[in-house]
Amino acid sequence: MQSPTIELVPRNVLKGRGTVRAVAAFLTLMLCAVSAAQAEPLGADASPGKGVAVAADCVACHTAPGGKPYAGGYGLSSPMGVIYSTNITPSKTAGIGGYSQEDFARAVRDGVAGDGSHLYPAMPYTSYAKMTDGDIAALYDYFMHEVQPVDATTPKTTLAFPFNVRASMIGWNALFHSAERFKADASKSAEVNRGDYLVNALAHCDTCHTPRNLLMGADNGRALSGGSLGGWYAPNITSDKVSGIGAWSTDELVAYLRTGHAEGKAQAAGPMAEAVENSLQHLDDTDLKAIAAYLLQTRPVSSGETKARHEFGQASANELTLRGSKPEDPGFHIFSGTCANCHQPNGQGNSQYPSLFHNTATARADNLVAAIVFGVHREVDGVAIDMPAFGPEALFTDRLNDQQIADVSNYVLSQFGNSALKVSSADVAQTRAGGPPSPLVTLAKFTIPAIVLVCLLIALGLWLIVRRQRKVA
Amino acid sequence: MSSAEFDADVVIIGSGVMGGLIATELAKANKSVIVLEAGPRVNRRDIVETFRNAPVKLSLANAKLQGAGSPYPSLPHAPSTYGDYLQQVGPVKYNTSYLRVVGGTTWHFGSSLWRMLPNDFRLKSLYGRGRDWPISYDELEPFYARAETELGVSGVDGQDESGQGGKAWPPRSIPYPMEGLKPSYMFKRLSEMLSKGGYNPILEPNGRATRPYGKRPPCAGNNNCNPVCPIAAKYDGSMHIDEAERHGAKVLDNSVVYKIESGDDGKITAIWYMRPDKSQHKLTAKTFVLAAYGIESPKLLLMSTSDKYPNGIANSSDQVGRNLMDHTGISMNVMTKEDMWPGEGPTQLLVYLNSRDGAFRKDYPSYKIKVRNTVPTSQITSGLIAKGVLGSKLDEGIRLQSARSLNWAVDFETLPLPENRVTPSKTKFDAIGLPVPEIYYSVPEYWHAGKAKALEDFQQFAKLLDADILSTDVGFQNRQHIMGTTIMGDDPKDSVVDRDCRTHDHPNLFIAGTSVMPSASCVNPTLTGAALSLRIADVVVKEV
Repeated sequence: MQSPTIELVPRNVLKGRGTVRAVAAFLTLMLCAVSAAQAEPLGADASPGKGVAVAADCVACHTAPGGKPYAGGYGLSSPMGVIYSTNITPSKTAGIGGYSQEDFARAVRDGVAGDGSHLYPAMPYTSYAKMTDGDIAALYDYFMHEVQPVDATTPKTTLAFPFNVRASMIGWNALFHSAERFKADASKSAEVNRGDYLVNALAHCDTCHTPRNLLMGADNGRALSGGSLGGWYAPNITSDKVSGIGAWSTDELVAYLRTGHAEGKAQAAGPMAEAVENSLQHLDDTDLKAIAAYLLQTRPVSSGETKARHEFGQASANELTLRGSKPEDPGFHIFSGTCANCHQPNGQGNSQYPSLFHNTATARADNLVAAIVFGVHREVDGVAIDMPAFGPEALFTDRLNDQQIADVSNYVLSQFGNSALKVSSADVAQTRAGGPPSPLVTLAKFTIPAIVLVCLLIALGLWLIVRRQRKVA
Repeated sequence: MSSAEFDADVVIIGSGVMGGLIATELAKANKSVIVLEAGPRVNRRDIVETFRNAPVKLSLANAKLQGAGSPYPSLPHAPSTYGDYLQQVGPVKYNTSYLRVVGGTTWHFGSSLWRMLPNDFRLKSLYGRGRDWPISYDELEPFYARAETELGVSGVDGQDESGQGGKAWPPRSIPYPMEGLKPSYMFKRLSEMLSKGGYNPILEPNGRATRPYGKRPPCAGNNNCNPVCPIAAKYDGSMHIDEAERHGAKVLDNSVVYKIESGDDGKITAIWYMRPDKSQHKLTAKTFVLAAYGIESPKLLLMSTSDKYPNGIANSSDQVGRNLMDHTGISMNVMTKEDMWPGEGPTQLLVYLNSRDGAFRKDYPSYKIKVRNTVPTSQITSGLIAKGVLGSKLDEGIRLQSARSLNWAVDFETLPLPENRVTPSKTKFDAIGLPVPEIYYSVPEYWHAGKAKALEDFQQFAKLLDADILSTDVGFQNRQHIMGTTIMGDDPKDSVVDRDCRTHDHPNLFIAGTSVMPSASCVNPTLTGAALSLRIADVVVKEV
């Protein structure tokens, strides 16, 4: 039986829109993003377990494009190779049909599969660990009784050394995994507690938005203050008024979570667009408001910015002043021929397309480049928002190379966004390749020293923990 | 895969929608394919920028009439049809404008993608005019469905496209792949007003996406379908070239084919092409597909003479280049008394087909009436200035005319007349020494009878819209729909290709595109050509 996790296989090719969802690396943010995942709207008569499954967005990772829900087999590319998700339908032969509720709980919350093997934290069990017994029971019930069993197996996994040492997860878990369940904070409102539970457990927002340390553990000292994943960046969502979302109103946050768009602020793209499409748009207003309420009272963490990311830029008059004068900036021509058709020559957008200024997308170079390379795709309420990709997936008539994307990014940043930033063609190449390399993968290049170092660190971590526990005892 | 004795399994001449479709189907079936294109590759953004920089911005038909040129390149080895490339030698000018670039003429088409009616295939037997097709609508229907899916057609299900306001017609095996575009205010208002006169509004099926379709975003109403859709929401042939290349097809641009060679057994053995530097190259293949549209395809066949084939390739019937058809039309400008706001949404959508089919086709042709949803602001302005209108009066005039001036146009079915023909010029040559096309075109009484009927409709339209007719143009307007020049039929004595679009004279040469159509109907022919091309692909996949 396969374990209900996402595993790595050493392959490098991934077709289709899946490349958009390139995941940084082993043990990093195993962001699953399946555009084809068929998240059904949550009707009023939906079972509690279905509600939990939608909030936890299980379908995103555990469904292949065009495949049956929860049958797994979805491939995510990473510098280590392609990761395939497993079948979590109640199939006795290929899925989790043989799991007891205890087995299920152990897999979801503790990262241990039915056969006792350790899961990799591609499965966000570090967040799910906080799930309540009640939600686990409801979720188990949903998977066993409402999900259609699919007997198809998913690609088998063997990992490239040194990442195939599952036992190393014991050390990693000791360092970075807490088996503590969610405990409501009596000093906070029920709404904030519900938001806390959604953000840090069910909807696992922290998985992407909390930065990672050298060994890919969550850096909870800077919780929710932003992290890289693939070519995208999950920004700071603490209550900091400049670096985070402290300047957003509750309504704006709810609108963003519900539709992926907050006027004058931001749009969801990349993995966040998929979180909106598969999960967040289906949550009820009470839950979305709870998320907003929780975020707005989090401890502010500054990441050093001096201006909120939605405050940059203004309309451009270049179309009026430069047209006909043969401007030399190649970025102007690419912008005019490629971007201005929708975002308008002055960058202010229209009823269908967002403005490029007062837009978080033009405040950071990484997300701007990723949006151009991979496009923006999300479907909300049955209506598709679609910015074409201009990277390798684009039609040859519309494709842009690294230098062209750098040129147009610099034009957009200088005209509409954070003009202090500069993009080089090497930056664009890195985004295409799946973003900045993970430190752990970099270490793995020096295989032997890396293993020694990782082992030492894990041993050190264990020793520290044991010592601390003794002191406590 | 091709064996070592051939350069490819299949060589396709022409990289437009027809060549691209066939190349995609063959490449997907693991055949080795080489596509040759006379013109260059172009980028959308460059065309858009050239258009933005152009002082005169007009739709393609007007651009040509007014000598405004095109944003597409004109190169010495592939001169643009917007210039003086086409030689007119007949009584009626056949001012067509096709594009010689990778992706072909669909780059600038308005993207109407119609099916013909079952009766359109039986013109001779039903109405005693023109020719019958050797195949029926029913035989072509599954290919229409596939072509609609491939090209991504949006349309309104349930319409009676024969124009009688009756049940859904023609029969369809699938719904439209995408739902139709929402009609703008003008389309709704006009429909309302003209319905009172018994005119049944029809929203034409077209190649503009209404939801993300493959790599195409939804149409955003840029109102710029021609000369170029700035966001790739509208289908064009380069999209199938893109797909074919991803499946391994090879595309040679700037490669002008100038000769097709046949063995004495009738099998085509090779084609020759010239690069801009005039270097000459040869390619061999098991099968060849000629897909260079209705002027260049026959011209190439007629240029390919030899001792064995003194009249050119595939021309034992002497029909190559003949039977040239179009939807030669007329138009009128009216000024309404209320604001209609043309210019919102796509450049065309609403049509009237009351005279699409019926016993009248014995006497006058089938025709379609359409309203152009464009705003020729620069012409309105120069017209007013010429009248001495200036200052705030000029602003007022521009506002008024751009909201109320409408252009109505009629497309007539034309008949395959052998005297209407394309030949390689004997006196004029392009920069690499190849003869330019010479065109003889004329219009018979049958067409004039249709014109008289359509002018009655114009009068009726003006009355129903409470509009003043400003001008009427009956000057044989060209509609860019080239048909008939490699005509299809069962009899090798009076047709060029058989029912599979295979040339009667050469078993391994197929001709793809609208040039094989034995009747023109009154609707845009691209989808019919695409359906026929998919049919060719099925045959070639089995044979190669």
